[in-house]
Amino acid sequence: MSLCLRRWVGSARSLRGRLHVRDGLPCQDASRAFAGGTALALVADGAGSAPLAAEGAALVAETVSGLCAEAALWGHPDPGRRILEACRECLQAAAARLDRPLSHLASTLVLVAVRGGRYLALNLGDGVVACLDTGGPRVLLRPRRGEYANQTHFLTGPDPWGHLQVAQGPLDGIRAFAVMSDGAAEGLYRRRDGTLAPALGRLWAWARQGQTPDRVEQALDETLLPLLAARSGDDLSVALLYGLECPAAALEARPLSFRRTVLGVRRSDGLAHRQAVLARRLAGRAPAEAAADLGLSPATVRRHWRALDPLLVARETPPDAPDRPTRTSQ
Amino acid sequence: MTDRSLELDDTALVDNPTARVPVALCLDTSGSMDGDPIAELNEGIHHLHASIYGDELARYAAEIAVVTFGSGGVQTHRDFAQATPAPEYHLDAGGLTPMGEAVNRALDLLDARKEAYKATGVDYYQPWLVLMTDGHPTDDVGEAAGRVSALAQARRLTVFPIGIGEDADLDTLARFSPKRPPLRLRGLAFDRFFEWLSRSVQQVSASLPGEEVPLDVDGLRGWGTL
Repeated sequence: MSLCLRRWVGSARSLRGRLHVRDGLPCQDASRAFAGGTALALVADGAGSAPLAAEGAALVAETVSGLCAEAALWGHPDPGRRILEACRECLQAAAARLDRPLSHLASTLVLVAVRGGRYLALNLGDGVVACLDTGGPRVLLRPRRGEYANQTHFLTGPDPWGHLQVAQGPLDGIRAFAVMSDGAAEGLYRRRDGTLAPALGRLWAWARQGQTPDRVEQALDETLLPLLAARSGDDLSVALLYGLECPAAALEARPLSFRRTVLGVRRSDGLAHRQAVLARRLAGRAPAEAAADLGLSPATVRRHWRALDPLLVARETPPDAPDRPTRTSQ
Repeated sequence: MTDRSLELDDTALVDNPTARVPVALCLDTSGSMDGDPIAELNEGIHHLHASIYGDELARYAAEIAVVTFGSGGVQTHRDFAQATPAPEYHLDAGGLTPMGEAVNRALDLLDARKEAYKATGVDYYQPWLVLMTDGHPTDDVGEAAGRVSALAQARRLTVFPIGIGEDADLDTLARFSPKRPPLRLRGLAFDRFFEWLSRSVQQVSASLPGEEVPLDVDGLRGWGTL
């Protein structure tokens, strides 16, 4: 068993739907992804029937992003419920400010967050949460609709808690997640049997080869979302979280953009220091010895040492094949 | 490896069936419809088929069933299926007006179709029932009216009861429609009605998920009066 470096990173993009363009409507989806102490990917899909759908979705995305970045949320006994409450409070305040009914800001919410070796996935509405684990791609949370095609559940509904789906647990062998709006699911999720399109497995496999979040977002813009646009006239949103990893001893050979992303350092001098501390650490040196070796202050070395702590993990199994049959679970 | 672009094509996506709009036409073909009315009704249905078939979205979304009451008793001319370019059936006038049995037949077809949608993972919109008559029912409509009313109240069926001519029994039609009063067709404006129906179905077919398509009330005035 060798050490590898692993950092969860995220990418998210939305594309205005064909029918929205036809009808002169804005994109009413909002998508976000970020990495840090918590890695988050989310999609909020404003209701087509809601006059302020785009505003509602944007408010939800901002609220959830802000809340998930706070460490306090993760000490809450029920973070999922807290997220829903925060969204409701924010939408109610906006409705009051705008003197509009709450339903005018109707939006769904689908998200996955990774923190400290655990994940939390929420789905309220007709989005989909999928993941890649050692068994291959699988659906974590399915869409939940009303009886009719144009009906689903919204954060502004009478009982969002009653319709919220939650999945959470240790990451174990999970290597990547995806959340998507119903428009994107039209081409990525087969409703009849709850399986996933091969495209998702290929996207994950490609991203995990070492693509930076910017590069993945470019691929979403230029490749996946335009393909999906042929399947659905609705707005399209896909947000990914994926674990970037490589053997710790092999980091030096990786491209600069990869090293910057995995180590979480943008500045050249900071990157050089962190790589140097890593090399000493892999050589079995203690922090004080590393500081002496490198001619850096003990405080600087300790800072880089601590930053590396959550990134260094024991390598488990080789990366998964991209096109394995999907499995579903609820 | 990281320089390679993401390569995907359409074959890497999945296919999901188009969400369906089931429309049941329950039409009076009794003896009193003989002559111009049945001719105009056939013409209107021809227009409905051609118009829906000609629309890129509605062609795959709309599913039309036709049940008549009159000539031959209650007849199912077509079960729910996508529109063909022209109707594969022709309506003749004759006989009595067993409206209750016909509406029950249409609802049974609808129930079966919804079960088939669910079994095969096909999404569908709220079904529509169009009930057209020029007279009085000759059977008991109590059960049928109760079923339709209950579905309409529960927002599980959109009902359009339409009287043809001055002798149409609008009071009976009203028993089928707790939310919307029946309309009387202007003269024999079947073509305008079916054009409106086709346009409305097309709007639902092209609607966005989560979007409620408002009824084209202005369009109603082109063919109907209260």
